[in-house]
Amino acid sequence: MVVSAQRTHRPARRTGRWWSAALIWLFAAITLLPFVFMIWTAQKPRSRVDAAYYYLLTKRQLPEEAVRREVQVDPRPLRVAARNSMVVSLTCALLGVVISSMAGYAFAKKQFPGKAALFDLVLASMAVPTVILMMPLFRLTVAMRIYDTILALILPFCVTGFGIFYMRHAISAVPDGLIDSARLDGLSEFGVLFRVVLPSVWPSVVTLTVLQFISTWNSFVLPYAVVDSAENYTVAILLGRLMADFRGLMWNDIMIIVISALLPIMLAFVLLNRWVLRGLTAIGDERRSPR
Amino acid sequence: MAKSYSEPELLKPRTRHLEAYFLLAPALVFLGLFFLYPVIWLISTSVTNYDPITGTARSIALSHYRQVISSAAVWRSILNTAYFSIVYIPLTLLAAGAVAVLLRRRVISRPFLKAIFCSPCLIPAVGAALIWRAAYMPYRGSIDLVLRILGFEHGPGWAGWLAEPYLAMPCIALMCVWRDTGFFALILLSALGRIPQATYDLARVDGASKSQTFAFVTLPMCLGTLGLCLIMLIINVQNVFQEIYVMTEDGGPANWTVNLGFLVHRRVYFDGDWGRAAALSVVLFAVTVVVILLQNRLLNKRLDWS
Repeated sequence: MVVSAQRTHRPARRTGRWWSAALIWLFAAITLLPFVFMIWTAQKPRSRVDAAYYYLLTKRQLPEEAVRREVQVDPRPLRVAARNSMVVSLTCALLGVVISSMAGYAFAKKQFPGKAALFDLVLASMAVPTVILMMPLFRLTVAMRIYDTILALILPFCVTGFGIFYMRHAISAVPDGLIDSARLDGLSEFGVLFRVVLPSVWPSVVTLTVLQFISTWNSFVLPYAVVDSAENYTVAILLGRLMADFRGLMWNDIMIIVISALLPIMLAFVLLNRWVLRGLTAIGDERRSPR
Repeated sequence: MAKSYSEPELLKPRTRHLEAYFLLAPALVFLGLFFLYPVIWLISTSVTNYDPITGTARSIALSHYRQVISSAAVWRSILNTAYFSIVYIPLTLLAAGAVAVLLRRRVISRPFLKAIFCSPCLIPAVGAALIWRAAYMPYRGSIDLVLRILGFEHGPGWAGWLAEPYLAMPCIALMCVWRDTGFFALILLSALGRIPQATYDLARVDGASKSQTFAFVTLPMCLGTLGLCLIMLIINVQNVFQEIYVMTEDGGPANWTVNLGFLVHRRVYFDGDWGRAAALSVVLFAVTVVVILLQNRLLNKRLDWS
């Protein structure tokens, strides 16, 4: 990251009138509104949520005992899914960061034939619509005999074009002299990378780890294509398949499941707020940079 | 890149190349296996009548592509994608721009606000879709309840926001606008932060009004970032699938929410016609790449002077 000594524009204090503060808080309220709706729906007794909906579908009143019955949502599928998500996201994040750093280092600091073409491959992988990979990935995981296993949730998704792109950008800011002097001191290439280069860009390493973790935790389309049985579901797959797999659920049950599925990621966001925001901003800044 | 002074003595060029390839190897294996190979497989399958059950394939040249071009379902899905885009892209850009400009001013608790605006894009997209589906429910959904409190009530025939042909797609697009605004606002905010103060001082010396300053200083200086946002928005549009999968399940009402991605999914999982699905996938990917390349070229030309 280039630190410029230039003073950047900051509007004077008096432009921050009351209406701009009011407007931004209005926007914030609108952003939070669906979460309020979520909690609102979740806390209602099932009768009040679904009686009208039930009537619409069946033209019958919801039976009285169904209205009164307390429904216990089975927590086991969610617990299994949370454990799977944790394992998959952590492995993906750590593996992805190590491999992306190695590739990023090569792209940033090495000259070799075919560099431009290989980098184009990296860029192209960022623009591919995910849906079109469902069919080939399904076939590929079956052929590799990892279909419907945890490995199928990890291997295809741990290395992303964005990760390589991001690490290349971060490492290109490391001065060549530092790398050369480390090499003169007798470090191997791996020693240079893991003991000199990565420690000097550690904020980027943390940011990428957090981003990879979140994006793996959230991704649904492709993981859903390579997994079949419920004990291999991640949280995102469970949420996506909720309507199809668990037919008896009412909307307040669904919202309770959604809330408990969102809690860990929200907690992570609160704790790692700074890194997440830094990462989200970086996606824009880094992609913008000329190659 | 400047060649460092000590390298020639330490290593021969060929060894240095080998080292680079060694560092790249794991990443290339993964990208090659899980990105390049699938794309090549799609292209080669699109010219055969591949049967997923027996695994046999016979070459039938370009007839799948001819079918793609002449298929009514494909054109319908392109129109639906366009319908989604004209709601999603301008609204997201406008909302993100407004939030970025407002956040740029001195407001209290900016980090807190940033966190609020980013929270929708950090939760799983399927979770966001579920929340909104519940809110769009007829009569008892939160939106209808709020409308009732405000005095608007739907008649007896109302089937819900997602069951009305003209409304379903914009409703899904609105969910995506809500989800992505914060992310794009952050990107635009950092672009605003990079504009040097000197440019604004010059504009003031020249006697530019506030709106002139915005139109002739702020906007052109952010053009590159706006172009990048547009590219990412287009990629987002091509990736819309899970939203439809969760919110209308089958692309209903009457195929009004079937976009290109959903059509690919339908061809694979319901029609079992992998050759045609592959041809459609290749077209989808090609369209994305062409749009991005075109836009890059236009923007680069525009940006040369700045």
